[in-house]
Amino acid sequence: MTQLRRNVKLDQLICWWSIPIFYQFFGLIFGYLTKIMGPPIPGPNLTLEGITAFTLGNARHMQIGIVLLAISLGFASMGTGVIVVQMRRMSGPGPVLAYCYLACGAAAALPGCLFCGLLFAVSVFRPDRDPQIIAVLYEMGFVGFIGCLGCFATQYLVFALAIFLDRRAIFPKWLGYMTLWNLVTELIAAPVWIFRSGPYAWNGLISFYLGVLIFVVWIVCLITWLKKAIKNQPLEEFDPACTGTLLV
Amino acid sequence: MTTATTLPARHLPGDPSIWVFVLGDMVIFGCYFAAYLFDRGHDHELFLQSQQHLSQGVGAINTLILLTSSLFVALSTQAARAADLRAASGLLTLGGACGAGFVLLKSYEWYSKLSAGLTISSNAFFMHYYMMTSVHFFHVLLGLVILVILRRELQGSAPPRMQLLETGATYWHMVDFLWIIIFALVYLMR
Amino acid sequence: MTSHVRNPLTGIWLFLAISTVISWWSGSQHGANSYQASTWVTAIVVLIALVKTRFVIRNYMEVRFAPLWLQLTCDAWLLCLFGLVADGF
Repeated sequence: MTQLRRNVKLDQLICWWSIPIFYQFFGLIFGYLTKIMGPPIPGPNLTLEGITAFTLGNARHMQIGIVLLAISLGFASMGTGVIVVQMRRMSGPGPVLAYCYLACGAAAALPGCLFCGLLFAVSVFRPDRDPQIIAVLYEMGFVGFIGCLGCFATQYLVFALAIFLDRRAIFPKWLGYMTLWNLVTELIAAPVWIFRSGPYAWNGLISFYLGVLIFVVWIVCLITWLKKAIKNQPLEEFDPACTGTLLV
Repeated sequence: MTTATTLPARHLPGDPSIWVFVLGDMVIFGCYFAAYLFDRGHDHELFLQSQQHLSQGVGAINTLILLTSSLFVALSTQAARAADLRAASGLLTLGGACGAGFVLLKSYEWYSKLSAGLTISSNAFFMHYYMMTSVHFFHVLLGLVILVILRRELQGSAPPRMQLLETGATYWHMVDFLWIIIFALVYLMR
Repeated sequence: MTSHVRNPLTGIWLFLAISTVISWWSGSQHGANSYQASTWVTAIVVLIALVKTRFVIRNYMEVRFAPLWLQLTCDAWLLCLFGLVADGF
């Protein structure tokens, strides 16, 4: 029985590990390979030659990156899953908001993550593609990638709300406030569809760099305090008859 | 929980986590201000000319509105500490009414600028103007929701939680002082 | 009602309102056809804004009674803002 109880959190821990591993992958894919986020990211003001040079010049790396992205993107669901499990433990509307979080994550994953990669993959598929088409795919990719940060805004809002209304303090209140910073920066990224230069363009200091900085700080805190939440989860919440089954 | 109208020394108002948010928001807005000032430094003439299209009077009235709302909210907090819940609730309502006034006046201001053809993509000045005032506007809206929550807390049957009242008030005052800076940097300075 | 009028917070409000009007007057055109850049106007307007902000932070937000680290952090932020503006001139 004690043996069973010791492994009762194993599923959550495995899922938790997927988060830092996934984000390493994410960083490799978006930063080094596809250069979609590799600083400095190319901007909306690039000439046709510049866009073609960026895209085709990076073709091999992009192709490898897209293959890895397509395979690994699904693992983001594991992280979402364990966060949902912890959110379900919260008092108040926690369980309801947990499912909202899940739905938002599912809706946001395609535009927010895979879409840009897909478009670049298509643009490098033929090296002799018309530069005008490459340019359209380039803009669709970037504007879509950064502009769709708003899709995540609701996810962060429900997460913050759940934390504030949770009397069981599964996550600390300050993490809820940090999530609100994230939310604000996601909203700031919404007008990237309008600007072709400056701090609010898709490669702008505010829309991109500040947004990424805050996101990185937030995800590190989330990963750390999620582990603590799992660790501190009392064993009484698990069904003793079945390993890992939650009673909440 | 203290019922005195003055505070003991070294008291962090509200839930300590709200200060994580306030300080973070101050840094984030600091970045917006820095971006604005940077672009302004590069094209002073454009910013100077564009600024003339803004109504300083409207900006000043909005500043006075928010300052007054802050006064009401601060007085409300003091009244709540003194257990005068009726006064606290009434003052909070007045503060909220001022906040609603800000929302209306700001909406009118944007409407008149947009009608004059000055949009977010008109030039760099207007990009900053609309972006900063929009983010601030979103904060005001959230603040109004918070004031409603605080008012419900005061009117509930249980004794109100001072920490919650202080937390909400802290947020509202932050919204006020951020606007003070925006007014000075965007409407007035040249 | 009179207690509100005599309350120090109301006195501070009066100071904030008056300095807002002074700031507004300083920044306005005074009948000129167009704005001229002016270091003096900028200095007055920005300094007034920073002073007003400090009053709001310390008195309305009660940071006067807060731990020293918070008071210093808020003051540091104001100084940074001042630095940002001064840097442009």
